[in-house]
Amino acid sequence: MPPFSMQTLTLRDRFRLQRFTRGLGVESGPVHLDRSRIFILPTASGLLFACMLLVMLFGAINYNNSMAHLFTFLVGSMAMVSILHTYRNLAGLGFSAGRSKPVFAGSRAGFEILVNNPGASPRYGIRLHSAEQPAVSIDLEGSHTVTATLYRDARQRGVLPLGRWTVSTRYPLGLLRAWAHLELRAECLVYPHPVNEGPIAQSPAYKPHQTGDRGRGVDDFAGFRPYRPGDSPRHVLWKAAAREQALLVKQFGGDRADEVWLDWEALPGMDTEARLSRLCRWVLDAHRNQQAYGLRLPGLEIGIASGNRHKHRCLEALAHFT
Amino acid sequence: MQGHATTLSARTQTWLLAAVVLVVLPHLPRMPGWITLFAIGVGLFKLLLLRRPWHQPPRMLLALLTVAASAAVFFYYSTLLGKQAGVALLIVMLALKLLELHTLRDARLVIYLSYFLVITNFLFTQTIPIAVYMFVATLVITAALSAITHTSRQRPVGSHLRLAAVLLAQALPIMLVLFVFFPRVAGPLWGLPKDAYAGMTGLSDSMTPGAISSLAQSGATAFRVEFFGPAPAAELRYWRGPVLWHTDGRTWSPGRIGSYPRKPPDAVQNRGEALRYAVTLEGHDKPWLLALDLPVQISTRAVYTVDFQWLSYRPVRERIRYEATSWPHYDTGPLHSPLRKAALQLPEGVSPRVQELARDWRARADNDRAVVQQALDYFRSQPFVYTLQPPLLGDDPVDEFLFETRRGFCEHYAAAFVVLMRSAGVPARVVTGYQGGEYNPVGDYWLIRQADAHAWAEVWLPAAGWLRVDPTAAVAPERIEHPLDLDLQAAGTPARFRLLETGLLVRSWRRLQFAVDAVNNHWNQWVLSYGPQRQLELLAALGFRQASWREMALTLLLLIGGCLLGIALWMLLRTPGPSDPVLQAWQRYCKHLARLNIRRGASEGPRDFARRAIAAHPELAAQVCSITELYIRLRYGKPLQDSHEVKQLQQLVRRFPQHAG
Repeated sequence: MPPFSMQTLTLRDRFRLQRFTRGLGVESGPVHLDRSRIFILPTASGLLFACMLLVMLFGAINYNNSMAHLFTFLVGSMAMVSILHTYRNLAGLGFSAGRSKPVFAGSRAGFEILVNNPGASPRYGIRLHSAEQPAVSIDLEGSHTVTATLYRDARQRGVLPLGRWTVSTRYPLGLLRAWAHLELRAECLVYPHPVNEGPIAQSPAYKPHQTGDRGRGVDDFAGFRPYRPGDSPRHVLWKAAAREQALLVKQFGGDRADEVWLDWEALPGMDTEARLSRLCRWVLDAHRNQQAYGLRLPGLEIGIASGNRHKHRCLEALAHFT
Repeated sequence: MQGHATTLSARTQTWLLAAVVLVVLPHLPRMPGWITLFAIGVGLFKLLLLRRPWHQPPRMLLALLTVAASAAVFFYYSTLLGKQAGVALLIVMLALKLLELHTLRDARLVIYLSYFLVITNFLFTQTIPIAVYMFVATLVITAALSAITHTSRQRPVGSHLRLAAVLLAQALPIMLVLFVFFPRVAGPLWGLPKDAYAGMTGLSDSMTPGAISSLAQSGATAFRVEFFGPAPAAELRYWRGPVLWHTDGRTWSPGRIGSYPRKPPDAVQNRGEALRYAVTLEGHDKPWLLALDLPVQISTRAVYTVDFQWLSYRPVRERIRYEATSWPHYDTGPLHSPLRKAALQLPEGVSPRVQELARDWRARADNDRAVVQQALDYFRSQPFVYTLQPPLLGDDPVDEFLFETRRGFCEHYAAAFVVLMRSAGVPARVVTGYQGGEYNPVGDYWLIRQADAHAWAEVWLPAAGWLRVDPTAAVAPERIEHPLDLDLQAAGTPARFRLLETGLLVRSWRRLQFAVDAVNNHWNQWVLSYGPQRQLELLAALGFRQASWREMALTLLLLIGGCLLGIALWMLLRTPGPSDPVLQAWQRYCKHLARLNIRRGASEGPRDFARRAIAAHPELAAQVCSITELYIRLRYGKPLQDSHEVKQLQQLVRRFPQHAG
């Protein structure tokens, strides 16, 4: 998509109401505000101000008072000039989508927005808000970039787009509000909601591992290794110690290996979302218990592994499952 | 909108307090004592609350106070309308509102009311110092508005003031355009409250002993005059005002006959040179237009009366300027019988002593002129004293003044003289107006103050017509040569006149006063009296003869649009772009390519962009390559930029073919 500018707008586009109420649709990349995007209208207090000016003018006319005329015009002209200041406070600002951390369904997804002030003059009172969030106000020094976060409710798993949001300002006097609707290409991954109730993980993989059991347990003697502080004194090879050989401990391996398959089929009779929620809980539990685990979904299998990346891979699969 | 229940910070509230104090302060001396005390009390209490935030006064108490204060204002003025009562009410409400600042909306209301109070100050006085003061007040109010709009951050106080200063400075050209071109309507739009014109001073349409002497103690300006040519001598500088025909022995009034219109100059014949001049008359709430004796022509819409006055159709309520022509030497021609009858009217019961005196003069004179001369000799020879504080007179003031007190101001002399003339059968009448005036060498005009108010007589003589006779001049000839010195008047003493000052200090002080008055005169002429009339004149001078409303509105809009465009351009030019010269040069280069229809994608790297550019325009390959490589080296390469290389980049971009397409 070419960078957007007034020249590329046809006359018909320019007067489409949609532009006024909704903006221009989804855009990727940094968006810079120019006059084709910024709208200005008086605020409620601006209208009240206009009424006051009118009363002042009537007073001036009624009393034929020159100075009253002059000052009414002064204050009115100031309100006119403030239109330019309001516009300039938004014009030129650049917006781009930052990162957004995956969240679980039912919590709030935060979208980082990078707001860049390319000019040297500071911008005050820039407000970002969306339908689901009251405005966050930021101030920007000249040639600075500030990160603001917009939040959306992540109601269901999947990919949550940021959607349309609005940047606005009432600078300098609060009489006018300039705004622009923006819709940046920003997405947040939403994992299923991890439920607490329901069956616990089953189908542990009891088979011994082909390359030998690396798990630790108490059942089978597996060999010796040097003592490390914290080892149980019961496992210390005292005979060797008495011979003033190195301090060794006996190592045992268990064949109750910490490997588990988290299986879609283990949850019969539940609907898809409930199953995914349960699986999500299992993934989290297994990760917390430092187990190695694999995930089996219809048409997808993630082999047994552990660690953060594995966890996210599994959760992502759950989020994207159709 | 923003009216959430935010508690306003102490900083915000201090701003509001400052704004309110600034606009209320000039009103306080005009207000009754209890309002002044109330406002100061509330202000101090608010200051205390800011420094030591106790719990706020309860809402019930504030509501009660509000009702009580409005009631007090109502009972004091017996109205809530009118400028005095209205301003009093505004001040009371604003003061109480300061104690009840909870939301942003409250704060905005206070600001808006403060703007309004700025305007109300001008209903009382419109001097230059007040205008300057109010400009500063507007600046602070605007800064306060900026401060309450941006409460979330800790911007320094100065930045709000600076912003307000920028806004006001940029508003000035538009303000001027509006002031000059905004269609002026002759007010009032609806009935004004009774006190609208309170405080205007000037001549009255009737004269009782003591009326003019009280006016003569006012140093206020009555009008200013510029002569188009040499000014007449002091004994000719009589400014004609209301002419009084009828008397009941004590009070003199115009009577019915005087206001009959006639066509100028009628039977009046010029016996000398005509004088042309421009008068700037202060509003005095009466219809007469002061002009030099004897006015024959005037440039504004007015009626000419049989007794040679110019009367405006409506009371003169604001300062107006008109040009007039006068004949200082004149012959008014014959006197018709109804006028003669009115000019001989005498009250019931003129005292025998007065009649005796008049009869004596008549017996010893063979014509009317000799009678007048004897009367003047009488005033000159008898021990009459000219004083601003004459003793009070009883039921027959003329008799008492002539034979007992013999101390009086001009109205005493004029009244007594006319009664004597009429008793002797000479048609006569009283003329009030101003005499003299002070020349302002700085502004080259004459300033006539209320203190120059004067009353004299006119007698009708067969050979000359109506002739001005000033009995005061017979008693105190220096009155005619020098203005009264208001600073030197003391009760009951003979009037003191302003003679030639010789001291250097005094002379410089006078000079300064002249300069100040000259500036005020320009201010009055060009700013304060700019109304529908002057607007028409100015527009005609600019070529808008009989412009329609549509044309006027279009001109106004175009001018305002032009101003806004100019300010916008100025703001744009002053707004620095990226401060990094490398980035600037790069953006310029991208713009050049955009003109060739090669637009850089949002995420396209410089090299990919260059590849595309070269593919489209192979002839530019060399330049594109060198610019791209230099840019990449400068921007992403070393942490420190080589100023030589930066210059090289700028040069390359500058030499880039601009219209190669």
